Amino acid sequence: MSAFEVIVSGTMLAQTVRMTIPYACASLGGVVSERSGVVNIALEGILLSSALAAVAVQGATGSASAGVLAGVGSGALVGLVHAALVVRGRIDAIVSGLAINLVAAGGTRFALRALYGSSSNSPSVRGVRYGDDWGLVLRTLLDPFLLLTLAAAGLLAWSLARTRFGLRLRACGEDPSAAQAVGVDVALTRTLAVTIGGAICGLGGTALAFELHQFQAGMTGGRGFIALAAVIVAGWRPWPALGACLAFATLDALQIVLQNQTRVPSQIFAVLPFVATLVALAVVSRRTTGNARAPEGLGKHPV
Amino acid sequence: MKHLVRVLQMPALAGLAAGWLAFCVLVWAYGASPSAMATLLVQGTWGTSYGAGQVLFKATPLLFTGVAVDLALRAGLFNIGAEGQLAVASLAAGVVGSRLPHGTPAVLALPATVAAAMAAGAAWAAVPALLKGRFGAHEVISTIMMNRVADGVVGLAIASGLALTGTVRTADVVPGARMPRLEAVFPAFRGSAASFAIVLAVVATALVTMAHRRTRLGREIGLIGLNARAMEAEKVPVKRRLEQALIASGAIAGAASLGTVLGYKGYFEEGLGAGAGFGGVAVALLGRGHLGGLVLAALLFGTLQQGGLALNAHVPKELMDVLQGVVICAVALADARLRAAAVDAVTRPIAKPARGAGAA
Amino acid sequence: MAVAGALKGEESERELARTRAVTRRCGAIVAVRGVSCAFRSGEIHAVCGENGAGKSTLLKLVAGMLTPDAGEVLVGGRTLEPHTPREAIRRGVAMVLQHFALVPVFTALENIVLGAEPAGRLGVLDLAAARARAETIASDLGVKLPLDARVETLGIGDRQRIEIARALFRDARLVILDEPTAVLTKAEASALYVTLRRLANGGKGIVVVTHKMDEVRVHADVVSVMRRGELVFTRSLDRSADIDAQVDDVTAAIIGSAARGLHSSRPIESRSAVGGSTEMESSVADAVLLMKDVHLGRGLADASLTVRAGEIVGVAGIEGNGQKELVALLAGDVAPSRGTLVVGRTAVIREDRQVEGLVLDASLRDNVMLGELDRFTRWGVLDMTSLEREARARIEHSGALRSVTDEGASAVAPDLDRTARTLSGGNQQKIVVARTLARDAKLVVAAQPTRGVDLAASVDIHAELTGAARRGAGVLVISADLDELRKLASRIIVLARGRIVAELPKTATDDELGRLMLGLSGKSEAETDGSGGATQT
Repeated sequence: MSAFEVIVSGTMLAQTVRMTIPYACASLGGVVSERSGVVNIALEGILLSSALAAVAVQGATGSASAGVLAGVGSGALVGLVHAALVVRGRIDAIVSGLAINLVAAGGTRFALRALYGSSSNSPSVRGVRYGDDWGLVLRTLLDPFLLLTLAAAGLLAWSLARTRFGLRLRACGEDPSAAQAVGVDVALTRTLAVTIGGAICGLGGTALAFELHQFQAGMTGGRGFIALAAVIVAGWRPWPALGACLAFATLDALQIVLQNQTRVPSQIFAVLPFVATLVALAVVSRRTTGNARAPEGLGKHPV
Repeated sequence: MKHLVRVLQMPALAGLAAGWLAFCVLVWAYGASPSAMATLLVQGTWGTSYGAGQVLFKATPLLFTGVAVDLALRAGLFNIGAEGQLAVASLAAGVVGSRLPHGTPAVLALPATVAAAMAAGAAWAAVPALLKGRFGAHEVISTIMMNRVADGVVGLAIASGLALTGTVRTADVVPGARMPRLEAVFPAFRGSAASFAIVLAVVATALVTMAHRRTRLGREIGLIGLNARAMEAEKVPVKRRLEQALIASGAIAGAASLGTVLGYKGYFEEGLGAGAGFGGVAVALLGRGHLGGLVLAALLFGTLQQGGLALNAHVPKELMDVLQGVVICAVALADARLRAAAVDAVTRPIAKPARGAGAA
Repeated sequence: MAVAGALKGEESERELARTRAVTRRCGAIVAVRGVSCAFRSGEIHAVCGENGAGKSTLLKLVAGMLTPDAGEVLVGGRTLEPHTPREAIRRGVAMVLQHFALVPVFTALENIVLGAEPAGRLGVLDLAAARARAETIASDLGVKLPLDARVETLGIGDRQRIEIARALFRDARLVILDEPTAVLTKAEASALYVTLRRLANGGKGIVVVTHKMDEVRVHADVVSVMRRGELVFTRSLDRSADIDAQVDDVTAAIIGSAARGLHSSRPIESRSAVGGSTEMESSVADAVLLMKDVHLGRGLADASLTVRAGEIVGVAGIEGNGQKELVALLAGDVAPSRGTLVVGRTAVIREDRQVEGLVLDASLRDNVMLGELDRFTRWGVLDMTSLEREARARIEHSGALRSVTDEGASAVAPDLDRTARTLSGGNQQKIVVARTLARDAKLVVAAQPTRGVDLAASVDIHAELTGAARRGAGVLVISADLDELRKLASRIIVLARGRIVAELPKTATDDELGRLMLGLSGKSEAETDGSGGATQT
């Protein structure tokens, strides 16, 4: 099969969609968190820790849904820690994010050795089993993680625009001092937002681990950071964030195919998603007007 | 000095306490004895002159990258890209150092090699610097992306003929380009990889700290970090200063290859010095712009790294990464409290002046 | 209108909130010390005092935005507990901050409902109900509110009405306004007081922080004077008696016996230009600023202006009518899109000193030399000795550290290491002024040079600006404070909608200037007394 045939094949498309999910979930988590005004570079660490939690719990209980719950729950927990450090402890969100990523990277390896005596990967788990005889298209379209991700995006976009919580959340992100002055509990709203964001991101970590049927040390490989770039590229809006993630995931899927299909050194394709992120970032960062602006109060505390 | 003590005291204490607590909990959870492990840790590091030498060896690149990150941080920029900058710089050091004529005297070979490394680091930092200055792209994400690109580029270079065939390493650098080991002068350090690069690292840190105070560029960069808009209003070329800060940061990060390529291996191989860039962020966050603070932070994390190796047979060395994160958080928390209290004690603005109409 | 002599029972019934011996420290300073003060329904209660006297702090305590260190705040007869804005709002106390608390990208309606959103099940916003309610409030107020416009596109007057509507939206019974007229024109201010009176007559309690004695004279029912954190007195104004005498009492109380003989109405000697008259006959040869038909984007159009050496020109106008553009242009931040601009070396005192004028967390030494390090640099290295000498000289000249060390401690050498943040607003501004004027610029642009600055510092700053003109600089003062313009300037130009619509002598009245600022003709068709005449802008 030629490279081109592989690229346009259904397998490739299905692969791309599945690869989008971790990016998309992390990105949605980033949108909630940052729209409330809290910079979130901890996404990488959240993906990693929730991936391990999902695998460990499914491995121990044998239940896929328990695994999903553990992944989502640990995502929420790490989000809560980030929120506590930034919102209550008032430490720089980037410092907190870096520290969380460090703890997650070291902690998961530590736990891997503690639990399985391996420094590289966990034993394999089944992940979510569904529709074994559905055929590729149906299997892809009805992937529970895909459905959950789409539901999360829809719910998020809707609640940001239409609900009381969404309005308050946006107010905290745009002008925390103003929000506080009119009686909005900025600390609580932000804590909730970052925790919810962590939960959604945790779903992505779970999807990633179940896709590979195991946990591998450092398996997120910078997805959290690319997802954050997608948030910026998408102008902090849920649906465009999904679109940006799809684009990055396509590049990601592409580079895997191209690495095996052509004579061009594999490293050139391996850096493709990262170079694309840099270019996209440069292009959108010039944008200062319109609906795709960064929240005005991002990183600011109420006074 | 008094100032330094005052600033460091409380956060440092908080960091040590939190680090110790996390150490105990994790070691205990792993089923080992915290006190036994602590003893082992001390014995493996400061307990012997070899161990102490190894700590110095580990601290060397950390101090370089630490002061590099610190320099950018003064301008308000997070250089998370020291990792990639160092990787590319190490490659440059390995390639240039090994291509020099064999008999090149040290006075030429060493500066040439270091200059090549620093130039490579600076060039790698120039990409996010220009993206920041020209486009306003956030440096945290762009430097992280550049780290990944660096992995690819180094891999490509190694794969495409810059390495000895069949290996992932360059040829040996010429003897003149090597950093002498400490053991050559102090026999007590025998066997450890510590080199005189640690001295250069301290000198570099001192120079940067001094430049911050006594040069126009340094001061302007520091003031921009505190309030860029006021500097812009005063017609200081803020964007250019930010670019310069990040590029200088990359150059200094590149100099960390003094401790790895030139002081330790004598050649570059893929993965050499990995982790030092991220470690540098931790050092900078702890050191907070003080000469003594940065040196102590580098020594602390050097101790943790070396100690991790000493414990690895009993508890996973990754424990030390967790401790690093915990210490960073605890110090940042204590620091935030301290600063809030300081601002509070002096004065909270009583009547806030009206903000501009646009911001209202 | 006066409430003196009302029955005791009625008094307490009308009481909405009261402070009982509240004390609040702000760092080393006691901002409010043992103040007991009551606020009642049906009256406009003015709170007066110099900057830093503790007015805003006191009212923020009442509104739950600050917590007292001692004493208590009672709202509706009960202690405010928990002491948060949310609880205060719940009990009917709302505060309109001086710099407003509106989210710029939200619509007026979203801002009005924020924090008190009508919502159905699952917290779904009910914007239709909110809109209906907001429209009722607007008609009660007798104003029109652009409910669907983004706040960032609206002017100051609209924003203020949105703030008031927001307070009423949550059924506030006590509405506190912090210097509401500071950025309004006379006409807008009058309209505001019409609205406030309407609310008071409807049973609301209104508290207004103000510096302006005219407003106290005409509009207030009750006045409280604060000085150095203490309440000097609270008394009702009786308009059937000699109101001028009562207002003079207030003025005296604001300044206090210890004041250095300052009086707000004392005119600063306005010197005429060095060696020449201020009339137009003077040649353009000594012009330091020549603008001819200058355009700048959509902000400034057809602007022509000449400023000569030694003169002070005032710029009046409602905020957002081209002042920012004018400053940006003269500072060299932007180039004119059309027209000619000839300007000598210019130094600018920016409007927002905390954001653009100072690096708050840097030392005074750094702040007073900001942007001038190149003059002290050789081979990239700073000449620390001369830098230090210059900084010290400037700070000593500025007097910024003189009044800080209040009681006779002035013998101590100035501490150049302290950060700008530790200075009061007035002293911060003195640092900015010292730095700007040390540059011997041909043209000095001063945007809102004394906003948020106490009276004593204002006098010093005015003297500095006058001194700069005397030494031969041309000075352009942009201010929302018409009194300030009249004190300093020999002529006043008026900006409206980005155009220079008029040039008036310094004898121009508030009414003339006000009408021009609103883009109307200079003459009012039927001279009202300028107090409560204007109803709608």
